[in-house]
Amino acid sequence: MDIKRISDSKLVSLYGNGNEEAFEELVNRHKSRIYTSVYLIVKDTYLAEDLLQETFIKAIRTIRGNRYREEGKFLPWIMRIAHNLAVDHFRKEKRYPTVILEDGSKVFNTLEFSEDSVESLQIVKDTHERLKEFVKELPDAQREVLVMRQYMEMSFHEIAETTDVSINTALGRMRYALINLRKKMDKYKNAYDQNIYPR
Amino acid sequence: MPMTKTFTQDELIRYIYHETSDQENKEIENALICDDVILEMYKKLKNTIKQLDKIEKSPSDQIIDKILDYSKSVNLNSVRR
Repeated sequence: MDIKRISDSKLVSLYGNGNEEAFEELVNRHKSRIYTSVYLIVKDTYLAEDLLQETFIKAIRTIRGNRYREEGKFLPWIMRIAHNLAVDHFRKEKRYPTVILEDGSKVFNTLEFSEDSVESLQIVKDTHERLKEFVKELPDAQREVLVMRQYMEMSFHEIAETTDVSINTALGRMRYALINLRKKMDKYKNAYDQNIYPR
Repeated sequence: MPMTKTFTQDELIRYIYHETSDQENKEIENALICDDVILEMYKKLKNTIKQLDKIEKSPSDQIIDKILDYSKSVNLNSVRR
């Protein structure tokens, strides 16, 4: 049996009966999506990994404890755990995180380009890295909706219920998030082009 | 010639995320063919959302190993008790 073809719901069931291979597949299948969601909320790679670990520990205890009741909806269920843990973290800390880049630095550096950055692959990588930063810079309400819709795959109806706003408000926040990102990416691209092709 | 309905960005966002009804889909798709402004708006939104798909990050192998090790260490009976 090819484990990669088995549904989440079946994997959860297998894991509930002690099949570690099923759990490993669930982790590998969803780790990036969950991690990205948490990371874009907490803005810190180390904290995001801690919260990812905590999320899976809760999932392990629930499934192994035979308390999992959402068959077929594993991803939204575990995403909710991750989101709640991330939000709880900030409630406890009572502060907003500083932006910490992957190399540990805290600043959003001005645009600097090395010789290598002219290579197309590097440009793509830079653009993606910058986009991550732009997402992290969004106002909280916009970033929350964007992460919930894009990475947690929640519908706008579910987002509205979870965040206690109307669907129109949730949609409006998403719209502003996308417009903001678009503007920032255009500005970044123009700066990039002018740096490579000075007038 | 029938007039094409005008759509807002919010409706296009719902369309991109597959949250519109079959009827809305038909109307939006018709507008995308007939209305350059809507088409341009759609392209910009779609492109931004597409970019977001590409920024998924992976956690370190170490943290995944820790999670898997924890799972193996869990005693089925003790958790169920």
